[in-house]
Amino acid sequence: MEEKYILIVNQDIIVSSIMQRYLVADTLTFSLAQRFFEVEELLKKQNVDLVITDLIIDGLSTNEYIAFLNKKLPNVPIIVTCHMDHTSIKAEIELLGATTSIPFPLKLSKLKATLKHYL
Amino acid sequence: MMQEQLLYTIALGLVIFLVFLWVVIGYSIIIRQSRYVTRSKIDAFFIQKLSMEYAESNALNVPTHLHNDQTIAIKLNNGRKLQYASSILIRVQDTFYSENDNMIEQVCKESGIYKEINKKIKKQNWYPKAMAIWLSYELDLKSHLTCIKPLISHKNVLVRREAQIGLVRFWGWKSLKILPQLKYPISLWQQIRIIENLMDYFPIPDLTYMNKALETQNPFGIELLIRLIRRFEMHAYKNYVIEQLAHPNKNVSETAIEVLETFDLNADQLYKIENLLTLLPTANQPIRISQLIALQQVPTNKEKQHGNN
Amino acid sequence: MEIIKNGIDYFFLVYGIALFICYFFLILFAIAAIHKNKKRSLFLNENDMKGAIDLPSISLIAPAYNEGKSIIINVYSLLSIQYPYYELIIVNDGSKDDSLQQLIAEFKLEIAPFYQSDQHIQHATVIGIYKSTDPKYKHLTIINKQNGGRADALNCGIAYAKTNLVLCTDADCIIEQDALLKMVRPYLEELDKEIIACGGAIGIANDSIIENGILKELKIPKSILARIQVVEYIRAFLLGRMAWHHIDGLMLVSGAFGLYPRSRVLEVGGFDKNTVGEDLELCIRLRSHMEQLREPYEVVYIPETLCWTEAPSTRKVYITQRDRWARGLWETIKKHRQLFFNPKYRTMGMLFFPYWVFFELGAPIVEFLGLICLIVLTVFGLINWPVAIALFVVVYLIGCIFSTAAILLYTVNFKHYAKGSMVIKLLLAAYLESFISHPIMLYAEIKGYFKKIFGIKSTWGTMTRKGFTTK
Repeated sequence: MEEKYILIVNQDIIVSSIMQRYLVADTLTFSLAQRFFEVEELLKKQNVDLVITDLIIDGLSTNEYIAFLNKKLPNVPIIVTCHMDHTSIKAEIELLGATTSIPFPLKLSKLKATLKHYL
Repeated sequence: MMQEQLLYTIALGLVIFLVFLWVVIGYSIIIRQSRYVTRSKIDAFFIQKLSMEYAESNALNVPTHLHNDQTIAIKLNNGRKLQYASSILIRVQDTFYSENDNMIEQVCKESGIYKEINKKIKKQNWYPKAMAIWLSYELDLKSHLTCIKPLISHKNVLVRREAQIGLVRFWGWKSLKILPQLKYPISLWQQIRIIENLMDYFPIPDLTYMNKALETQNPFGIELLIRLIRRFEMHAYKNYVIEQLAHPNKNVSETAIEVLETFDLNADQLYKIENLLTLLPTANQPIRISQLIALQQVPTNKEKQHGNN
Repeated sequence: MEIIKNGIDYFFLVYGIALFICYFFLILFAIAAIHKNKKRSLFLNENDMKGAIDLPSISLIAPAYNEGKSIIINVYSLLSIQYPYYELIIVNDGSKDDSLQQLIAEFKLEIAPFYQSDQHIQHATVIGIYKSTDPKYKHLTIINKQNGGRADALNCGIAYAKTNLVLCTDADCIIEQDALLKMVRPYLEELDKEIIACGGAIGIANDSIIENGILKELKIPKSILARIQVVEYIRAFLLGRMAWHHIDGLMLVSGAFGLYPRSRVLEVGGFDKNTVGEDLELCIRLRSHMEQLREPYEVVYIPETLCWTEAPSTRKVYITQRDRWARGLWETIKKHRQLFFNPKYRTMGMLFFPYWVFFELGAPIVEFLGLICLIVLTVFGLINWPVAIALFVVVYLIGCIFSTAAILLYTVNFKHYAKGSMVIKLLLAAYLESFISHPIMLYAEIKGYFKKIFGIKSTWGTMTRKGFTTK
């Protein structure tokens, strides 16, 4: 099976590491980033097949960030996780180009299923 | 000569004190660096531990890379480290659901956090006590409910606040029955925490307790109920919110206006509001209520979709 | 002659001792306040705040006048703030440069329908309101108005805001992304006392690296004048304002970063356009208003540095700034002189306002008089030089201790200046303050007072800025 490259972005390294360790599989390679400039650096070096990102990260405004990902990775699924579970925010995120959004707290099994669905 | 000598003696004392401050600054920088190293180790331990627990709770075959690192657990031996570890667990609890309800509690017991919280909740000092209550409900340590319950009317505002939120966290809607007895103010933060805890853990309202809570005369309690009505979209209680437009407390009437602005109102409800307007003094609220009526009279898409309740 | 000399000696001695005692107590209060703030903030989980729908809404109001060089990066910076319910209002105060054209092009702005602003406060005529057609910038509103000065522009923004709270700032400030989540805390926790103003500490970011409008790397300024101001700000915010907050005596929330309940600001008529110290004046007016209403209130301060600004790095700009601050202080004290030892205003009238008169307004005057006395007494050969030098050493060391204590408190509680090399640079700057920036500051303050005494007309003064290092 073809190897897939996943980028997990979250300001909290504990959260992204738990996600990574839970989602780990032979065909998946993960990179973790905490800040926007790390995302920028990683995207310069590597092609990405899927992004799991928190809505709010250090270094760029939320709307600019989602638009950036969308522009930089036009056909790549972007799964946005977020502590804000308001209908208007969910709609706004998707309008800006996110593939789907999952509110926190989430079930890791659900995240795994979403990941499988989009890969 | 005497004055001069005295001044130089004072200067010498000041120089010694200045040197002492430098030493403290240096020490604080070193301590910060060593704390950073310790925290990285605690992070690593909990990443391993929690990944494994989540995998187990989902009945997955735990992969070999998720083995536990016991050597770090032994070092969680002081209050500061335990506090840091607790903050990790709270963040994780806020972020992930587990299939196993007692997972975080088990981790707390294994890492010594549970014991530490137990000790702190019995202390006289308000800070550790409030902190222990906060940690108990954030980490879902249900067995602490018996210690928390008597503290809901504690003289210290933070202990009282945390105990009341804790009660909501563990009892859910049932906890609202105590609202009519509460005499102290309830801050907006506490209201938010109560609402969000109910939303996260008890998403279906229990109207028996809601009806009991409506007996409260505490303006802060009324404000909380109005917010609950909005958050849980309890349209059956719109009339209660409308009645609060005439409440003498400005915060209550303003909250009622804010909440009604988000609801669709029918002709009867609008008529009731218009009648209330005639009873109100010429303060700021009547203007806002008139604006509310005007807003409601414009047919919206929302109205077309949901109809009036 | 001897009696006069003794009288003068004792006046300065008593004034100096009183000032040092005040500062000493301020340090103790500041320690208690920082400690209390730290303890309380632990209970407020930011993740819970982000998810709540009952948070008060906030408008961030930033006036801009001829900011063409940096307006785009500054707006990006202000848009990056993390708060679920906020709008950004940039008030273009009749700029003569191409600020508005730049904004229109960059943010795809188009004229929005006019709506009625609040009539409680007056402001210069609004020419147009702009909103973006790009959903990315739906929180952004640009108000284009005729020039009326900073206070007028802020009033205009407040009148058009639709939120519970208004945060007044400057378009050239870099605000931390989580600043609003932190600033709103006191409003969430208020119980029996209404929060009428909340300020946050302001830091100096000269020569620091700014990326996408966000502070990426904080550096110590290269210019010694700006470096000394870093220490001055730490001392003022961490020791001064936190201490006054602790005893409910805070009279000033900085104009560059202050959060107010919109309804209260409207009630008092907004910022005063006739003073250059509009931030101090508004705070005192809000306090007086609450005293008159006999309603319990509080002015609070957050010790964390949430807003970064560029400090003057040349002597000329520094003098302009301090001259303006001195005039603002003079105008405000004069306007509210009825508060002075007025028991109707309780501790504010009997203690806090007199402190401002004696030690904030009075200190430069006393220092200036001291210098004159020194010259006169030297001419008459009445100075005992060995004692004078010993006294200078003692006073200098006490000053050093206050600055060192402020740096220590900052190092212990906050992470910005955590490197040893940074701390050493700050300490050295603190010890040079008495010789480099303090004489210039004294000159600027006396110049400001002189203008007020002799009715010399002066304006806001041009604050030429070098601009942040951006990527």
